[in-house]
Amino acid sequence: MRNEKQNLWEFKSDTPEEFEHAIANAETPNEKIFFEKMRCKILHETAASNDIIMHDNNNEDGIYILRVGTDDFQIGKIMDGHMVEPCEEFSGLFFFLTQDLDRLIHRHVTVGEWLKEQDYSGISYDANNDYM
Amino acid sequence: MGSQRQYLGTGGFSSFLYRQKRDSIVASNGVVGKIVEKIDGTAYDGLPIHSNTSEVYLKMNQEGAIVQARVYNSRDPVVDFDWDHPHANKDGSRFQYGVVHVQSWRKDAKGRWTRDSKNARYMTDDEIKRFGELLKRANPKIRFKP
Repeated sequence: MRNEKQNLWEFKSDTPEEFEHAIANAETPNEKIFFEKMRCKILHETAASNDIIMHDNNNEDGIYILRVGTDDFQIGKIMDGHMVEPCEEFSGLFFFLTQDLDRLIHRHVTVGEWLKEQDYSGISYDANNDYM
Repeated sequence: MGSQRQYLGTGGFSSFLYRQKRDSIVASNGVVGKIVEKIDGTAYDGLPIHSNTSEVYLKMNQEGAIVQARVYNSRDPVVDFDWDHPHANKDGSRFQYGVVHVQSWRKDAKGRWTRDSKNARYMTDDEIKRFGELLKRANPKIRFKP
C-alpha cells in the first residue's frame, strides 16, 4: 500500500509529506483548501494543455499562474493584454511557492506569501484546459 | 488531436479541439511538425495530450513565434521541447531562456499521463539529430546547448 502511494509520486517534484505538512499547518480554511485541491490536481488531473490556477484578471498585479503537465508551474505577468516579460517555470508546487516575485511586482515577497496576503482569492480550481 | 476526453481508445477522436495553422514545417530528414492551435482557445492554451497522425506538434504564441514542440509516438506524448521561458528544477539546476529544455511524458502507477518534473534536461545528441533541424526551422533563434 505504501509502495503504491509512493509510486504515484514517482515522477513528481512534490512529495506527499510536503502536502501533509502544509495541510496540517494551514493558517486559514482557504489555505487548507488550496493545498488539498492542488494535491488532488497533481495526483489525478493531467494538464497537458495547461491548468489556469490564477488568471491575470483575477488579481491587481496582473499575475498569472499555470500548472503545466503535472506539477510544473509557470508564472508571468500580463499588462494591457501583453506579456510583460517572459514567464518562468518551476518544478514542484512547494519549490514554486518559495520564488521571489520582485521581478514582476517590484517588492520582495514570495509566491506563497503573495497568495497568503490575499487568502488565496482569485485561485481557479476548475480551469484545466484539458477538460474545457 | 485533442484531450483525453475526446480521445477514443480505438484510435482517433470523437471531435477535434485543435486546428492547424500555416503550412507544416518539414525537415530534410522527413520529420514534420504541424503548428496547431486550440479552436476557441486562449493565450493560456498548451498543446494536446494526444496527436492525430503527426509526430510533432508546435505551439505558436500571440506574436506568431513558435515556442514549444511536443513529440508523440503512436498518438501518445513522448517529450516536450521548451525554450520560451527559463526553467528551474527543484534540485537547483536551471535552464535559460532560448535554450531548449526537455521534459518526458510517462504513465504513473495508475496509468495516468504525467510530465516528469524531476528530470528536466538538455536535448540528447540523438534528439538533436532527429528533431534539431525541425526546431531550428520552427524558430531559428533557439539553441540546443547553453
